[in-house]
Amino acid sequence: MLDLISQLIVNSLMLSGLYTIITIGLSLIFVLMGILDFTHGIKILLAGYISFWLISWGSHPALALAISVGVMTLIGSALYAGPVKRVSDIHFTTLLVTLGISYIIEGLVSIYQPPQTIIIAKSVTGLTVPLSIDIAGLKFSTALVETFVFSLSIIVLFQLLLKRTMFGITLRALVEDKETTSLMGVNPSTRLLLSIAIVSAISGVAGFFYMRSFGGTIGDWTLILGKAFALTLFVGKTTNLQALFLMALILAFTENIIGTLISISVKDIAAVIVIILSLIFKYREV
Amino acid sequence: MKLTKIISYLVFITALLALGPYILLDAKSLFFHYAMVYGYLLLIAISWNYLYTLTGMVSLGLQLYFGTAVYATALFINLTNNLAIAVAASFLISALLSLAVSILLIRLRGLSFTIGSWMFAEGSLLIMLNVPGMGGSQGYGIPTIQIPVKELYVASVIAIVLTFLATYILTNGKLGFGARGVKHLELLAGTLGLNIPLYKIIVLTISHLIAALAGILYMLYVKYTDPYTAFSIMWSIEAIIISVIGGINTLLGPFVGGAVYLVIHEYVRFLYAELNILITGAIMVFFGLAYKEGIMSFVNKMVMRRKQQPVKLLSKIA
Repeated sequence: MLDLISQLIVNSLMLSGLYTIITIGLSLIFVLMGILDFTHGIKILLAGYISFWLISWGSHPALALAISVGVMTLIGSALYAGPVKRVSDIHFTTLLVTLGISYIIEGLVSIYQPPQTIIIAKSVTGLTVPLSIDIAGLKFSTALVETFVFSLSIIVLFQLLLKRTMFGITLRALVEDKETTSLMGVNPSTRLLLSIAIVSAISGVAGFFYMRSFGGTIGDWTLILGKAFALTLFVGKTTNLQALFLMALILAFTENIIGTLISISVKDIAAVIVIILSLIFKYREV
Repeated sequence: MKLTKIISYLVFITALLALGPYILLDAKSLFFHYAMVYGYLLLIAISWNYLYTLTGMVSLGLQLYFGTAVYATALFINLTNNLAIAVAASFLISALLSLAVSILLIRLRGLSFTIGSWMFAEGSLLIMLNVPGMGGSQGYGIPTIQIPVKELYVASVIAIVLTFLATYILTNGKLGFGARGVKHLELLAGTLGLNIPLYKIIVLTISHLIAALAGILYMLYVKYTDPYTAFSIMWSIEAIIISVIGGINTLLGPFVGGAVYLVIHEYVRFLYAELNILITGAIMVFFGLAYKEGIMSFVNKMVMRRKQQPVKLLSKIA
């Protein structure tokens, strides 16, 4: 029993890193623009698909990751500078446009890729690695270990960016008081565009490792989006990555425990219940 | 306009719309197919628009009540083989579900409400996939009952007209004014003694029951569904598109928006059937970007401007 619980905790910890980097982009856009970007889920899956296609055409996984990060940075920035910025004032038009873009991307991907689960089987290093390794009686999935290492690195780097650089300080100042920060000579539009580019790049990494850890179909974007929304709304209008990571850990642990003890088919139901409960009982006005 | 006058107009329109095609057209006519699709899309759009107009809440979870009504109707028809019992039971289950969910949902505001409403519907989809005896992802149907399409059409017209009348009365009555007070000045409305949670729960439940009515009509017409269709977020999205086209905050907006949406969607889908999801996305982006005020809001403004012109002239002279 103790082994099982330890295994569950380890798996959840590894997964929570992925959930955190999945949510960072959505959370920062929400904090800076006050909108929930519905294109976030599809962007993550698109990055996963681009990586998968590149690898299947013979590319090195690390190169595929770099290219999908680059593509996502461009797509994310273009979407923000174009349609999203234009409609961000009205709640339901933002919803309509961002959801519409998601469906367009889903439709375009479906034309090329048949609706079946895809997975990135190769390690990001390009080396042949075993599916899992045993350490101290615990089983570690190599895909999850890779995901965790990359996720944690990104979380640490992003935290350093926010706390230690002038860019991060001005960004946090914009979150606190946009008007005063603008009067101090900070250009909000440039800062916003740059932040969108950075978080889109992070989405690219998240997409690669989502496909590496779980695999999925293009239609999975709604569930990814639901989880990211819940974590974002739970943390509220702050740039608190520790709170985000903690909530991601709770979500991952619930999913894992239900998936192991009851059935893998009901683990998503448990996730939805956690999302609803977290929204209702940890409510913040947004 | 007086209520009696509106009712008499509505009775006339109902008779015209229901009996005209019923007498003149053949049951195989495509008109009935499009009329039924228009009917349930319109009802779900009225449901969304009513909730938004009175409370300002943007729901993405109407498919929960739509889907529940779809499955409840099918289940009770299969159990009892009695249409009246099935419809009544479907309404009752939807109302109870709505009450239970609304009590939790009213704690949320703004974007949290939108996501919360959506998550309830997503949860129900996942649950429905795992409910034994309901077909799972294979779907569930009502093979035992045959309702002639013409009769279903007449029922649909009556249901729409009654829904319109009910929303008109509720929007312009005490409930409507109270709810709008809560929408614009919640804190003040609370201090004035208005029971804010009660107002919200009532409006939410009415809105959800309209969505359930759409679900009942859908099931009686289509006779087969699966969780991915019945609990699809597309129902809520289509409701928003229709309201945006027709005019949000107007009672007639969904009627006009529904017709425009149906024509565009069916025509483009007819041309490029395999690109359905892409086309729906393109329609959403187009109307989201082009949104100004909707057709009926524009018409209302023009009418108001015309009415005000003599006053403006008089004030100029003065």
